[in-house]
Amino acid sequence: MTRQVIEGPLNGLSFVVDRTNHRGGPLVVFLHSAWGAFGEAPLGDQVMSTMDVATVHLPGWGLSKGVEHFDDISELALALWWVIEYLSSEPVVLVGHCLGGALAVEMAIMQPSKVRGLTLSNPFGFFNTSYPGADIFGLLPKDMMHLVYVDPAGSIATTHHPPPNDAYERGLMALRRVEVLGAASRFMFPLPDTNIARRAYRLSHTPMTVLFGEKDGIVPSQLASEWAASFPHAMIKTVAQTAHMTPYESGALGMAVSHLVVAATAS
Amino acid sequence: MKFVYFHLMPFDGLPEDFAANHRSVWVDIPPSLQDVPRIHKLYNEYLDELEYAAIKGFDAIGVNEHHSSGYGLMCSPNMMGAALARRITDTDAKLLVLGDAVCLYNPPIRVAEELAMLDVISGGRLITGFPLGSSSDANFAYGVKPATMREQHREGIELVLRAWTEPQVFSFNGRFTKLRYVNPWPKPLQNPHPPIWTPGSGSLETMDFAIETNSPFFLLSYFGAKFAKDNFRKYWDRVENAGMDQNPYRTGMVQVVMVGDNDAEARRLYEEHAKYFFQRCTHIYPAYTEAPGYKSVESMREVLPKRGAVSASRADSFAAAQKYSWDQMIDMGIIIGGGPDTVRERLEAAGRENSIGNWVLLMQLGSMPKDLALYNIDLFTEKVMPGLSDVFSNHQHLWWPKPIKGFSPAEVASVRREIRV
Repeated sequence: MTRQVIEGPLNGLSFVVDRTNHRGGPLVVFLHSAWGAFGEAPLGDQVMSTMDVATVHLPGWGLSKGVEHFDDISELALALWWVIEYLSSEPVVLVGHCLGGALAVEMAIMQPSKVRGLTLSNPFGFFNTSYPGADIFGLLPKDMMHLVYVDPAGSIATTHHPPPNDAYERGLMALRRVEVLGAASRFMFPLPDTNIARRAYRLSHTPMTVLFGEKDGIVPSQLASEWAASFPHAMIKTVAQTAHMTPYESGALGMAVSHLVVAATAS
Repeated sequence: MKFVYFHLMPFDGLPEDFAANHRSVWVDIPPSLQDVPRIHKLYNEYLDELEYAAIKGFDAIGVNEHHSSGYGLMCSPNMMGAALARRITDTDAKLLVLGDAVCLYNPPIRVAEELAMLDVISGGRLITGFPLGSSSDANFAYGVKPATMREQHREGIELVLRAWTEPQVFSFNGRFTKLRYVNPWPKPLQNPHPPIWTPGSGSLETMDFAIETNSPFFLLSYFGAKFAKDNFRKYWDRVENAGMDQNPYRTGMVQVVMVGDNDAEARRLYEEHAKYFFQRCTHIYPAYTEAPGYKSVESMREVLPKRGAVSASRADSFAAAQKYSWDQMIDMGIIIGGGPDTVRERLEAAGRENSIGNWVLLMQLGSMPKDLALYNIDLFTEKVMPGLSDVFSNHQHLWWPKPIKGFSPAEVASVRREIRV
């Protein structure tokens, strides 16, 4: 894994990219969730040890800088294309989790000819008042953990959010929450609806897989029907025994990426 | 010193078990708790109290703005200001609108127009105070993006100021507001515009903004001047560093004041209403008080607990105040209450110690009925205020409405009835 810092395209903007650099297939670009990237992209050993995976750290989540340049998701998507064009001249596979999912769709809508396929997990982007999901900006962490993790006291949750030892560490956790969700609020506040349905026609030929967590309290699995209506060609699955952290709680995202890359390479 | 009779217009019908059985008084308070006929009475009684305070000699009366809240029913400060503007023309009282968070208005030119109308109707008595807006109101009730609202606030105020002062029709090309034609009719009566105060909860950004715009900094806190010492010290240090004078009228503070004939009577009369306020009206779900992005990470880092600290809880927090007794609230200065002498001495001491020239007084609190609020006004204006008005008289108040040369106010038909009925 190598880490690269790409400066630009605006003053004060920089992108940190972690890349596996394995050759032999299209570049797989991973876009992380509203809570940030928890270490390596959650795509499983097979993908991470054989494919060229680039995890782009979004500005505002700690490593990349310059989130203040962006007021909405399309502006960030455009800047990400600038980064990806720097990394690869060939069409890429876009993979996004949560906020990263909404971002990946936004990017694909902009330049469908540069996208070989889309794999999304627990993606924001649609909103339905009948099953709105929890307001991630209006809940204390203690009231949200069971909506995000299928086992809020389990090893995945505690690895992502190590229990604090004192009030100082609790304060640091609160700061981190403000940092990452404050950045996410630029794109998803007050409702995570990015009007995808009106622009979905742009992706009618783009191979696409969308995963939902059966117990996701943030992006309810019922939203699968909205995605299916807008993207009838997409493969849509609900993954059992996962909540909002489906990519970490199962191997489903890695498998979906693997299938998509194999199919795209064969075609 | 100047004194403003300020009102939150609280709902007085929150059940006794409100805090135990409901998540928050703000944002998602159950609509089923509303008693609209009761609110009709409350609005009218509260307006009576404000009007009475003006008659009794308060320097100003003040209104504010909150949304989706049982803590304050004043969704529109300008509407309440309008209800009062014609009713105080036979007094010397000014009208403070400490609301109109500009990022709640789209386009913010609406704020410039309505405040100008208030200034014109009232005959040039308006004082404005533009808060950023609480997170509960702005982010959660009105959907303003927390991460960009400070920038939006600054831009909105720039638009309001230019709308009031530019002699020509102009175009405004902001990041958040774009208008081809800006041309409010009327402009304010006060020239170049009504005084502007800058309210804030103590963030350094707001203090700096007040200094940069040469407007008084107002601390919006329910915990009194004792807890605010550090804030005022930081503010006055910054004023000095900016090379500005230490005029006490550059500052103001919200303070709960409850006056009785003596200390024991004050406790007997007001304790239950203070407890209603601190146990029910301020029962807010903590996540609604600051949406992520509302405050900068840098501002939050300033108040991080020390390494090894067991608890981060603060004595000046709503959570802590729920458990305070009357005596504790008095001792900590959260309430300045007691007999007239006690109240006068404590207000003067707090004012002198922190150089606070303007007091925005909350004298109706929680479930306090109208007759008690009027009694509080009587005692304060008759027995407390006379001994304090001359404090700081050696300083000029540069942020107060002044007589307008050559202007003679219209005669307003009087419809006043007896407020004490």
